[in-house]
Amino acid sequence: MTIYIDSDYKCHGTAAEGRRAVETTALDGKCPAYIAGYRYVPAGESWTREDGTVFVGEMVAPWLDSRALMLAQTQYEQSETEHMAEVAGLVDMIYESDMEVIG
Amino acid sequence: MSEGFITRRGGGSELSFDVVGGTTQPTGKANRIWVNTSDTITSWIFHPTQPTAIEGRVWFKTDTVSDTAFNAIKKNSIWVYPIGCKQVISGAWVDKPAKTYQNGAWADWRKYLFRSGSGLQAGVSLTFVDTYPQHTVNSEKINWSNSLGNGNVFYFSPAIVMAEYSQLHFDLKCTAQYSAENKISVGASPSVPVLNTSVPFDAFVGGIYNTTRQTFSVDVTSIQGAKYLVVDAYAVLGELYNVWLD
Repeated sequence: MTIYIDSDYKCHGTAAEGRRAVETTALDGKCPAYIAGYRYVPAGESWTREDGTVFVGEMVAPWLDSRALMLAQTQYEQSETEHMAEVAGLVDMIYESDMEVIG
Repeated sequence: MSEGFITRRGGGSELSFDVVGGTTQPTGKANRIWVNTSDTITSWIFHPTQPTAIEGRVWFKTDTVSDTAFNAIKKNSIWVYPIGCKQVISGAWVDKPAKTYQNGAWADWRKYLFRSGSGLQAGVSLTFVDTYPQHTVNSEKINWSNSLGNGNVFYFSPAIVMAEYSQLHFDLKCTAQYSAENKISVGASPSVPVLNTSVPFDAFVGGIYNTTRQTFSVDVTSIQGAKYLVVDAYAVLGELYNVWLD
């Protein structure tokens, strides 16, 4: 997927000034809130933490509390499951309706 | 080893160590502990679990093994195994680098899971999750090799509470067996790996497939909860020498 990273390597779901697009599978299937809480350092680049520690990419690590990110992802997946169940129910209704028309 | 804690009290003649704060490395003295901090240390405590937060307090986390273990008292012995250091700054615990002066040199505080020269550390176990195991483990390194289709994933137990550390490190080298499509990822996972299933890393360094020996580090400052340290290698020959957190 395409994500956008800023100058501090924080991830974003949309393009904006100061961000650049990168392709990665590291955050595939993650909701926007989860992605926004992560930092992605591409291979060949490095990020220096406030205390001076240097981390070399490719590194993927949260900058927001991971518990909050997991909660957001869980709620997102639950919502998706409920949505898909609802869609499946609608499809069944339409199918049944069509079958009645066809006789 | 019985667990207890040592706190700073009045006087210190019975103690074999001292604690010095500051951003400039002090003069070395046997068992001197230097906390690299610009904030005033109001008190310090050695304890295995995080204590009450008091402004300026320094907490030296202890474990059952440590690179910088020392006898804390001059008479008889109370051995202390420090592996981490935090200080309360503006009400919050903040990681602070700490070192101990031992054997004529300053030594960093680290929690090793595997250390070249001594191997798997006490209380740590290693589990491989693969179909065709081709690995050896000795005191020097963990060595693995596998052909395409037989992924090699291994992890260390027990899971470690990440909140007490800032980063984890994997010291390894590897050789691509086929192509750059097959790479190693190392990091922290909320669950143990499952055969033929992607490792659900919370934080990791990836894309490692052909490198001379070097250390790969992962930032875990925002990781909460207990995580397993995992090496996910697929069709990559490799040797792991050290794994530690600090």
